[in-house]
Amino acid sequence: MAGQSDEERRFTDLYHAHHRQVYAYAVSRAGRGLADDVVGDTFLVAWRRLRAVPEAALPWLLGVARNVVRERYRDEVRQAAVAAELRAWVEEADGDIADGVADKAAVLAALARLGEDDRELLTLVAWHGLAAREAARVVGCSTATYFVRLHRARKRLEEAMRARPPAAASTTSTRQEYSR
Amino acid sequence: MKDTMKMLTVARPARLAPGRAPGDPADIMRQPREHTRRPARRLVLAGAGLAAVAAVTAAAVALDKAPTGSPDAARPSPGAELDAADLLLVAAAKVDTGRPNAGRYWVVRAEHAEGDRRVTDEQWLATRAGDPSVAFLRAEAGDWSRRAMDGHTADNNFLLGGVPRSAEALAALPATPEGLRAHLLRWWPEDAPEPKDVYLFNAGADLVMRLPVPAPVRAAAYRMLAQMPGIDSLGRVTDALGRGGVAVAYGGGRQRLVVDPATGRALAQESWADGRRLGYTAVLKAEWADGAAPAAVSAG
Repeated sequence: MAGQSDEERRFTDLYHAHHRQVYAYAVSRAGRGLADDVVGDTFLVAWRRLRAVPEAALPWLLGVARNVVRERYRDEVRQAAVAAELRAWVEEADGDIADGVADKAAVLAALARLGEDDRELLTLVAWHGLAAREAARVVGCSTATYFVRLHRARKRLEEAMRARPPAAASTTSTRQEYSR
Repeated sequence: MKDTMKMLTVARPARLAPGRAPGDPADIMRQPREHTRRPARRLVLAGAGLAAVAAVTAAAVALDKAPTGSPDAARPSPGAELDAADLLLVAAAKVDTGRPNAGRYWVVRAEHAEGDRRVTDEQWLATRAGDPSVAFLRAEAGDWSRRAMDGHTADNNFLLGGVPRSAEALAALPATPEGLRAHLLRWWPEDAPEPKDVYLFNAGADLVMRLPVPAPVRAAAYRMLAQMPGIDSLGRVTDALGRGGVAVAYGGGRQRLVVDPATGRALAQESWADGRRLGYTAVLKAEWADGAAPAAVSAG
């Protein structure tokens, strides 16, 4: 764009390249209702600290988004938003009549029954397009540790899928997850 | 179920996609920035030449000597040139290695505030089995009262990230930022009330501000903090006691650590919301003492 400084150009590129990904992460961590604010704050930090943003920006951005979510909202607010979000995923998949959706709803219901840490470990790789090495940066552990945890989380997801409780139970189990 | 990850990938909810086009990034770029023109100091610092560190320190000292005490002094300074990582690295380079690394008591005097409540205490924390730990407390403008610290022993006297440790265990912490971080993460309690990154920030703040660790470990703690994603510089500030320093923040500015870059001393940890300081701990002294705990302390 004419009249833009190098920094403005870099930020604009960064924003367009990663907006969707940061949004997706924000939805999964704080629910759709809060996601826009989280994305706004995250990119505001990126703008203020543009020189600190590494070439491979996504893990850094998601790390910032993670902090934004944790610091900005009271735990109860965030957890209620996430619980509602998880229910919406299952309902959305249940209501879908395309092929393979029964599986999809079952996977999402099982995912909703996992702890938040497990869910994050799994979805950073499965949904947010990060390699394990990058995902490890977001959650702040070594790649080796990440693999170990990812493995455990996957086992727990498989267990939860095998258990397949009736759909109505998902709300309760979501609540249980937060009262551990 | 080898394909679990694949099934999960396929199950990605449509709700993760934005419902509308992204906002204009120009709206964000209209926001003020912390540092608009910064020479390539970080590169210089990365080389860690003594001269380079001296140059940055000189800049920090200049910042520090600027007048303080104006009503705005506690707010972030928009002109701050050094970013958070720089400041912490500078502080790391200035940690005083000439001070003793051990003693009979670790003595910490600090002012604590939570809302309107304010109290100063001086804790004499024993590092030898059998020595009693003692605290002296003073409410605002009141007299000092002496209080035995029952249950405090050389084995549990020092809280790191909320977990009691011995001075011995602290002294044995790794003196590299990577080693320290890994060690702290191993010490992360599974039932910790706060997430790991917040725990790391708090543990780092504890190490630089109020725990009895050797200078190289303290320097490593500064460097570890400097490497944390999400650490932000707020520029020059004054703490609640009116002392000038620079603040680095974690979590969008809610948790702040005020550091004197000229001396490498951490002055205070503060919690902020909506532009107001909600609470703080400001350290007045943290040093070794070799004698027995006194019967009383002076106002000082």
